[in-house]
Amino acid sequence: MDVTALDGNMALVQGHSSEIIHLLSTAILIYCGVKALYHKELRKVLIYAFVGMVVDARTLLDLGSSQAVPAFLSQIFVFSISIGMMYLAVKAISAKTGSDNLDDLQGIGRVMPKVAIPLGAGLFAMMGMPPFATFFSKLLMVSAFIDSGKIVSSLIQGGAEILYFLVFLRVLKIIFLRQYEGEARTDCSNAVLVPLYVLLVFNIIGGVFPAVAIKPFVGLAKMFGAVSVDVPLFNLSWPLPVLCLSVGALIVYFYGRKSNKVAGLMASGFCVLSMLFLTVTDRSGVGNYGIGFAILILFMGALQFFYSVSYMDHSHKQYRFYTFFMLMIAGLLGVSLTGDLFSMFFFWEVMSGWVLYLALVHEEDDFSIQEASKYFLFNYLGAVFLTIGVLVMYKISGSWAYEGIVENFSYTQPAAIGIAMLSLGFLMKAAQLPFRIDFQMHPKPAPTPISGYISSTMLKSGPFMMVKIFFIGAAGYSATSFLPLETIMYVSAWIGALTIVMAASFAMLTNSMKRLLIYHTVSQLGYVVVGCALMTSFGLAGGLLHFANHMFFKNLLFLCAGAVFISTSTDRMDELGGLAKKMPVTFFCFMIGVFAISGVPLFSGFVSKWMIYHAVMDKGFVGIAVLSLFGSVLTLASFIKFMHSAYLGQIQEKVENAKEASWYMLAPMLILTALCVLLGIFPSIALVPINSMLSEFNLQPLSVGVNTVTHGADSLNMLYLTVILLLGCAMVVAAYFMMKTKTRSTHVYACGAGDLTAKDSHVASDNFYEDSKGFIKGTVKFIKKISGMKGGYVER
Amino acid sequence: MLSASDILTYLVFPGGLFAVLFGLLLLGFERIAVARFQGRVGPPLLQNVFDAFKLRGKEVLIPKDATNKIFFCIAPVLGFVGMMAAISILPISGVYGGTGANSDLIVLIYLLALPAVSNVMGGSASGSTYSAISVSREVVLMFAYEITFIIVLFTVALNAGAGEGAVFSLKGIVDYQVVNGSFIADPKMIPAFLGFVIFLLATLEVPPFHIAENSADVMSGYLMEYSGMPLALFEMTHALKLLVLITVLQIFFMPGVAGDSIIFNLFWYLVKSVGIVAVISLIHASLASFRVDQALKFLMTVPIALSLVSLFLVIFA
Repeated sequence: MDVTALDGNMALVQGHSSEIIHLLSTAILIYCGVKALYHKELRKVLIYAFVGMVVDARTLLDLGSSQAVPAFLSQIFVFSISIGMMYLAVKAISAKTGSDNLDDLQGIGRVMPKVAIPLGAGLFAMMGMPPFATFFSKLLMVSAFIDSGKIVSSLIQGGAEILYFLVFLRVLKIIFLRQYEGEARTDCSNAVLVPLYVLLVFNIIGGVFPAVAIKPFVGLAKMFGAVSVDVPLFNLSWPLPVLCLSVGALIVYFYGRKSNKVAGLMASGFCVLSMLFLTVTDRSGVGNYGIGFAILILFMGALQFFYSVSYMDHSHKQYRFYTFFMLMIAGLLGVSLTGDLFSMFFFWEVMSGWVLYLALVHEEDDFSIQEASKYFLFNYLGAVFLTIGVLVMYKISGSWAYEGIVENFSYTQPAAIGIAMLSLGFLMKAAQLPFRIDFQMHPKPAPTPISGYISSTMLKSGPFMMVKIFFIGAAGYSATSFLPLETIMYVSAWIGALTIVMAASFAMLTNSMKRLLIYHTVSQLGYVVVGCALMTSFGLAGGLLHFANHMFFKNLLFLCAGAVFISTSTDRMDELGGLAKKMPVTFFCFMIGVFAISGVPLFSGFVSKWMIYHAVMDKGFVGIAVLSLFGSVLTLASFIKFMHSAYLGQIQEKVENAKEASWYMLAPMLILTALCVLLGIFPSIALVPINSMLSEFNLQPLSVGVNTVTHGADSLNMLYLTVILLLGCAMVVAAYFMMKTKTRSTHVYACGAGDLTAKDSHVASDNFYEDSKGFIKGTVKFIKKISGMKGGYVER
Repeated sequence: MLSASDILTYLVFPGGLFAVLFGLLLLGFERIAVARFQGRVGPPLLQNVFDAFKLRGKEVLIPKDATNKIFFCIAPVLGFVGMMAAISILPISGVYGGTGANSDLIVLIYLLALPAVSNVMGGSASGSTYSAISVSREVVLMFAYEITFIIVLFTVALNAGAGEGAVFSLKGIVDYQVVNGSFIADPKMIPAFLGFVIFLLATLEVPPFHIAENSADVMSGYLMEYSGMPLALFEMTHALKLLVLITVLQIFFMPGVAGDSIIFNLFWYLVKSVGIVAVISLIHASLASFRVDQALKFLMTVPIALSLVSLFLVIFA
C-alpha cells in the first residue's frame, strides 16, 4: 500500500471519528439536559448539567481556531467554580435537612437564605447572565464559533443553552419561589459559608472585570502551544449614573427595611441624584440620543418609586422589590449611556435577565411565577440572537465602540446576518407580532409600578437600539450593497404595522384592565417601530416623538389602572362600573391618557402619529399607512370599552367601597397628565431635542416652530388648532351662562322598570362590541387555521 | 399665527354661523325631501333652526344616575368644537382656500372622529342602559366604516399626487382636480366614490345605517337623557357633521368650479350640497335599516372591497 493512499485512509478515519464524536457529544448533551430537567435529586441534577455543558463546550475543540482553546478553558473553569459553589451549597443544605430531593427542598431558600444565596447566584451564573464570570466565557465561546464563520452552529448552541436554562429555572423556582412548609430551621454556620462566599466573590469579580476572567486563559492557551491567540477584548464601561443607581439599590436593600415609605422615597431620590450625575458623564458614542433617553428613564423611575410609596403599602418586603427594580433601571440606563456594543449588551442582560425576573415574581403567587418565567424564557431567547448579532458586528469591524464599528463597517453577507439578528432581537424585546402575549410581554400579575415602567420605558430599549443599529448599517452603505438593510427596514416596518392592528384587535377582546394596556403597549410600540424603521428624518422624528409621548400616556394609563386595582382589588373590567363617581381625579387622568393614546387633537399622541403617517406616505408604503391609521380606530374603540365598563355606567358591588387614590399616587399621575397635554400643544418641547439627535444620525433637521411642525407643503399648527377648539368651548360656555339655564335632576328613563339592580342595568365589557369581537375572533380562527393551528383567540 | 381674518372665517364664514345655519337648513331640507318621497307633507324648511332656538331656552335635565355629571355636560361640547374646527379647515373650491396650517387629511380624519367620541362619552356618562347599548353599536359601526374612509383617503391622496407620492393637503387635492378634472369623472375612482357614499351614510346614521340612535329599539340611544341646550348642541353638531361630510365629498370627488367669480362658485357649492342631500334623502326614504350585525357584515365587505379596487387601480394603473 503506498503512502498517499494510507494518508487518505487515515484522513477518512479521522473525519469519521470526529463525526462520531460529534454525534456522540450531541447525544450526551441532550441526554444530560433532559435527565437534569426531570431528575429529583438536586446533586445529580447539578452533575448532569455540568457534564452536559462541558460536553457542549467540547465542540469548541473541533473548531481548531486560535480562539477556541482559551474559550474552552475558561468555560470549563468557570463552570467548575459555579457548579462547585452550588454543589457545596447543596451539600450544606442537605446536611441540615437530611435530603437533597427537590420535593423536600421546596422553598428552602426562604428559611436558609445565607446558604441559598450562593446557590441562586450559581443558577443565574450557569444561565450565563451578568455580573458573573460565565457571561464572558459564554461570549468567548460564541465568539470562537463566529470567528470560524459558523453562525448556524452558534444558533444550535443557543438552542442547547435554552434546554439548560430550563433546568436551572426549574431548580430556582423550587428552591426559592415555592412556599416553605416544613419545620423551622436555622441557617448554616459561618464556617460552612466561607468557602461558598469566596467562590461567589470570585465569580462576581470575574463577571465585573472581564480582563480578569479572560487573560489567564489566553496565557494558559499559549502554554498549551497555541501560536497566536486573538480573543475579543472586552472593556466594560461604567457610566457614573449607572454606578450611582447600582450603589443606591444596595443602600435601599440594607437601609430600606424600616418602612416602605423610606425605601420608596430613597429609591426616588437616587433616581434624581443619578439625573444630576448625567451632567458629568462621558458623552462620546452616546450623544444627545442616549442622554435624552437616560433623562426619561430616570424621570419615569422617580415617578414610579414615588407612586410605589403608596401602591406597595399592602405588599411585603418592599425593599427587595425596590432593589431589583432599581438594578433593572440601572441596566436600562447602562444600555442608553454606554458608547460601545459590548457594554450595551452587558447592561442589556442585567436589565432583562434575573434582576427583572426577581422583580416580576415579587408577589410570589403561582400565577406570577408562571407568567414571569415565561417572560424570562422569551428574553433569554432574544438574548441568544443578540449575542450572535453583537459578536458578528465585532467580527466584521474589529471594534466594540459604535464609532469604530461605523468606520470599519462594510457590507458582507455576515454583516447582513448580524444586522438581521440584532434587529430580530430588538424587535423581540419590543414584543412585536404578539403571537403569544404571555411569553412576549411582561406578565400581568406583576406589581403595577413595574408593569407601567416596563411598558412605557424599558421596552423602548428595543426601538432605541434598533435605530442605532440601522444607522450603523446605513453608514457602511454603498450603492450596490444597500439592499439588505433596505429589506430589513422594510420588513421591520411591516412587522410594526401588522403589530399595531393585531395587538389593538386583541385589546378589543380582552376583559382584563392590565392585559388591555399591555396589548396597547405592543400596538403603540408598533408605531414607534414603523416610524423609526423608515430612516427618513421625518419618520425618525415622528417615531422618537411617539417614543417619548408613549412613555407618558402609557405610564399614566398604567398608574390609573393601578389606582383602580388598589381600591377595588380586581383586574376584571366586567366586575367594575361607575368608578368615575368614586374616583373622579383618576377618571380625569385616565380620560386624558385615552385621548392622548387614541390621538385626539390637543393631546400628545396626535402630533407624533400625524408625523408618522406623513413619513410613511413619503416612502409610498400605502399598506403600512392604512394599517396604522386603522389601528388608531381600534385603540379608541377598545378604550371606550374600558371607559364605559370600568368608569361609567352603574356602580357595581366591587366599586361601592372604592376610594380615591392617595396623593402619593395622584401626584405622578397628574404630572404625566400635564405632560400629555403640554406635549400635545407644544410638540417643540420634544422636537427640538429630537432635531439635535437627527443631526447626530446625519439627517436633515426638521423645521420646527414653538407649536408648529412643517412637512413640505403641509404644516401642523397645534396652538392654532387649540385656540380654535377652545374658542368653540368658550362660545358654548358663554351661551350657557347667558341663557341662565335651569337644571333639574331626574332619574334615567328605564321604560318603567323600577326593580333593576345595578348589575342588571350595567353594560359590562363582556357585552360590548359583540359583533366586532365576533369578526375579530373569526379572523383569528381563520388565520390560525391556515397556519395549521386549532382554536381561536385564547385569553391568557 | 392666528389673525383677525382667521377668527372671522372660524366664526362667520365658511365656518361658524354660516355653517350652522346652512347645516340646519340642509337637515330641514332632508326631512322635507324624505317626507315627500314617502308621501308625507313634512316639517317646514326652517324646522331644525326653530328646534335649536327652542331647545336653547329649555330646562336641562341631568340624570341622578349619571356617573359623572361634569362629563355628561361637556361631552356634547367636544363634538361641536371638533366639527367647528373641521369646517374651518375645509377649502371650498373657488371660494375659500382653507387655513394654511392644519388643512390636511390626517387632521381631518381625527377631527371627524370627534362627534362619534362625543356621542359615546355622553351616552356612556348618562347612566342609561339604552345609551350604553347604543354606544356599543356606534363603536361597532365606527370600527367598520373608518377602514373604508381611510382607504378612500389614501386613494384620493395618491391619485392627486399623480404618481409622485401622496398629496395630503386638502387645498392641493382641490387644486389638482380643478386643473386635471374631477375625480368623479375618473373611472378609476368610481368604486372609491361609491365606497365613500356608503361611508357617508353610515357615519351620518341615515338608513340603512340608522342603528345606534334608532328610536324604535334603543329610544334614540345616546341622546336619550339629553335635553335643553346640550341636546341643541348635539343637533347642531349633527348639522355641522352633515355639512362637513358633504364638503369633504366635494373636495374628494367633485370640486369643479363654475368660473372665476366667487359668488358663482359659492352658489355652485350650495347647489352641489343640496343636490347631494337630495340623493341622501332618496336613499333614506327608500331603504330600511340593517340590524347591527348585518350592517357590520355589509360594511366590512362591500365598501372596503370597492375602495380597495380603486386603491389598486390608482397604484398599479
